[in-house]
Amino acid sequence: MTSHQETPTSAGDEERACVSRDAARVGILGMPAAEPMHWLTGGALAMVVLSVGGLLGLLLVHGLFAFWPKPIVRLSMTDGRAYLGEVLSWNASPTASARRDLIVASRSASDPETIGDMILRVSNRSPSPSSSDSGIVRLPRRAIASQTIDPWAVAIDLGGNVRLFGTPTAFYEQSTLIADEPARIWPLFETRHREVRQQRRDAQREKDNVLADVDRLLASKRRELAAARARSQASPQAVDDAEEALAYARSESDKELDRLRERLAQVEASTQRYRMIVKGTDGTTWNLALVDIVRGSAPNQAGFLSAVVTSCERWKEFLTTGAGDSVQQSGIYPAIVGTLAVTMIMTVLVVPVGVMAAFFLREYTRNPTLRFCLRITIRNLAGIPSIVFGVFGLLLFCDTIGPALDALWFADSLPWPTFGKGGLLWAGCTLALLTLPVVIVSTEDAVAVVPSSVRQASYACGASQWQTIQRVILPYALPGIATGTLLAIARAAAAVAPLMLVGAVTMTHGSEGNETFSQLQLDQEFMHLGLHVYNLAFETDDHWTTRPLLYATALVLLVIVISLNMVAIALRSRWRQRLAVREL
Amino acid sequence: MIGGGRLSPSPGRTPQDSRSVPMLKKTPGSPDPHGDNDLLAAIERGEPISTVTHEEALREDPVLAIEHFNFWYGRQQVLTDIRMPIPRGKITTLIGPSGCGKSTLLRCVNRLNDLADESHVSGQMSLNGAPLYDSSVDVIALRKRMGMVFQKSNPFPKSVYENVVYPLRIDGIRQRRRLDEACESSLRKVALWDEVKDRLRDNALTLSAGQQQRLCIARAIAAEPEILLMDEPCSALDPIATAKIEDLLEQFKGSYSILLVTHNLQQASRTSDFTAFMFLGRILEFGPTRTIFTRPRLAETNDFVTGRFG
Ligand SMILES: Nc1ncnc2c1ncn2[C@@H]1O[C@H](COP(=O)(O)OP(=O)(O)OP(=O)(O)O)[C@@H](O)[C@H]1O
Ligand SMILES: [Mg+2]
Repeated sequence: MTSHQETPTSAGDEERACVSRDAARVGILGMPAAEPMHWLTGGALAMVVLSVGGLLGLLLVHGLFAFWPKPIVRLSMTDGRAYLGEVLSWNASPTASARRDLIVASRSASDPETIGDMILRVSNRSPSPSSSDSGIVRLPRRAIASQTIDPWAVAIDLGGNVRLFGTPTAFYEQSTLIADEPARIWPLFETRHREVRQQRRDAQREKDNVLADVDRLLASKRRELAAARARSQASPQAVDDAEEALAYARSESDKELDRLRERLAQVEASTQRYRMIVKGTDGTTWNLALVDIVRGSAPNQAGFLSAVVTSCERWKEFLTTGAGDSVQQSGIYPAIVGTLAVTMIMTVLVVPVGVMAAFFLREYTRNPTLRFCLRITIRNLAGIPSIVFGVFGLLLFCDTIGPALDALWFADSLPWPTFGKGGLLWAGCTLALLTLPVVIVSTEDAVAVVPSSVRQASYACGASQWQTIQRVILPYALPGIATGTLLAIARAAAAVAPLMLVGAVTMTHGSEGNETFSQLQLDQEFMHLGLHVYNLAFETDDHWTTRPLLYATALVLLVIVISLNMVAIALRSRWRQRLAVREL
Repeated sequence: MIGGGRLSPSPGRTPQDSRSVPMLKKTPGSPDPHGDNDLLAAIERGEPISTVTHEEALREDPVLAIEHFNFWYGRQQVLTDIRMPIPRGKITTLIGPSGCGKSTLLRCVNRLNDLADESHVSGQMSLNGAPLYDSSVDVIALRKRMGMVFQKSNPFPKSVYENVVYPLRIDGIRQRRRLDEACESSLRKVALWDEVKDRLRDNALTLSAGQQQRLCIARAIAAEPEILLMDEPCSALDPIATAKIEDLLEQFKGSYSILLVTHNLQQASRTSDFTAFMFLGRILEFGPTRTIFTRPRLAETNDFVTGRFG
């Protein structure tokens, strides 16, 4: 400090001195000069931001690129064998036993380029999803003699996890050869393939419709007959009439079904008319009907744009389709619907109940001991592991309440249980129990800060306790309720284990219609994204092909949870604004 | 808990002669510290003393009659033997040192103290002849007959409009026209209409402190109460806002019966018709404001209004 600062002669001087002292304390980036704690706390925050950002970024990249086309390579090995397939990993670390062998065999193999393995997915012919023929091969990089990228190598999916790799060599319509070089075959394939697949889908839809119509007709006639039999005493003639009507309907339906079969046969014949010959590595060729091919792709041809397009198409398929032949082939649509449905059921149950309970605790309980005990109980509830809630839900809902309901209302379908097993409703209830403490506690905390002066103003106006709660306390509590809902959704999304006990399943096998919202049934088993992630991670040994799906599924779950949270946060900030007291 | 009407007043009996009374100094200004001490010491010992009520106050038609009213927080007695008729259409102020029970008395009138844990009362009050402390009384309906303004303004976090019509809303009134009329007339009465008529939809918390307090007064009178209870309505306000509220009180004279608590003696002497001096839960003297401030009968009152108290 200079002497002039120590002896300010006037107020102005003093002020100037302060300014210059402050200026001296300003460090980099306009922030105050560093204090040790400043750096420490800032560093901690930076670490948090980095780890959150890193987590999201990594998952985003891996998830978004899950369906990016992978190149197909042709490898010739030093022992003369050749492989054609999709590269799953360019340089995977070798298995433990291989590593031991390596160390024993040669001390010279220190070049890291040659130690690793290449993981390739090659053609597999059998549809069995077992690892013996999943088509995944592990090739030591040391043993690779040459590696080429064949521009016209294509991958053909035949459904049921069967995928063939090869080059197209010929394209036939009926028995006439139309094209015999890949550059001409492939565009033909793409247009014709779309065409015949569409034809088959249309035929399938028509079949479904006709069968449903026939079913409905016969069922109604049968009901009429049963009704007529029931009052046969009164009019025996009616029974005969009904029997006749049923017989007539039967014969009509048979005719209708015959016609359908005929039409389907025609369509089938017409869809079978295009064939493509694909040649594999070891001289095998496949003669494939276009209509049997689920998907064909030529990744080595793909430029960036077409890769983006393919990737988006695969994403769309992934998000909008349901169960396929194997986990790898299935989309996650039912899991998305299940997750949303169970979260919604939970929210609808937990928010009103939790809010009411919190109001009771805060507003109606006069006895401090009772209030204390209730609070302790609720906080303890929050600490119970979620799997215990699962067991509790199983015991209470599936094994106690469910069978009672079945006996009461669904006796005619027994011994097959309706509610006496896991299902959407019970899962929602279990999650609601699980998240109840969170909602109660945050609502209570919000109610606690309602100024008593405002409460008294309401009473002084002649409001009853309920009117006060509803008109004055509730607006104050709304942000807290939003916070509670937010936390509840987050906790529910994290709880996979209890769901497995009360109705979440690996795969729903229903007709496609079962998977839309309008046809969701409360007693129906469902899929859940969290459980799906779990399955993808642990239930298959085909690690290389499921990994990308795992990332993609986790990304979808994350996006859903984050967007639900965003809604809650937006509501909360709107409600909070209303309470913001301007400094007076 | 509630002394339902068992202490009804006997007509013609004046408070002065009802009990044996410690020596009361009836000569204002006589500097007799002993006498002062006698009365105050008697109060502190918890002995019964009787209120000096001027005849002018007794001649008025009472809107609210308080009879032998006692109030306890737990075991602590806060109000002792309050006897006081509140005149109709007049402004009655309660003055007294801090902590003497003015707010408590006010809150007992509309039974807000029912909400406090472990409080109990004895004695009776009656509003326009109807008893307030009776097991059969509907407290909610009772509070609707009164309006209350608190020391600290306490608008709801709702729009200005919803704040004013709150008492009507909870009465279940839905007709837009009635609500609009009540809102406008109440806001006009508190001279707030011109300031907020374009901001009726705004959050009440965005008004200034003085406006908020006037809004609270508007809310208190929206449902046409039989009596208006005001607990230091100006204590948090600047002189201009205070003057506005005093003007309001001036206008309210005749049309509203008001029980007002204030620490501002000038305000009390300017605005009110009757004044009661309270000390340690008792009303010592009650009479026309002018007399209380110029020629009180008790030396203690005189000391208090001249600022020599304590
Ligand atoms: N909720 C309560 N519980 C226990 N005692 C209380 C409570 N509220 C007030 N008291 C006591 O009652 C007495 C009277 O309080 P009151 O608020 O009526 O005083 P006051 O005359 O309004 O004072 P002031 O002029 O400072 O507002 C005080 O001694 C106070 O300590
Ligand atoms: Mg007070």
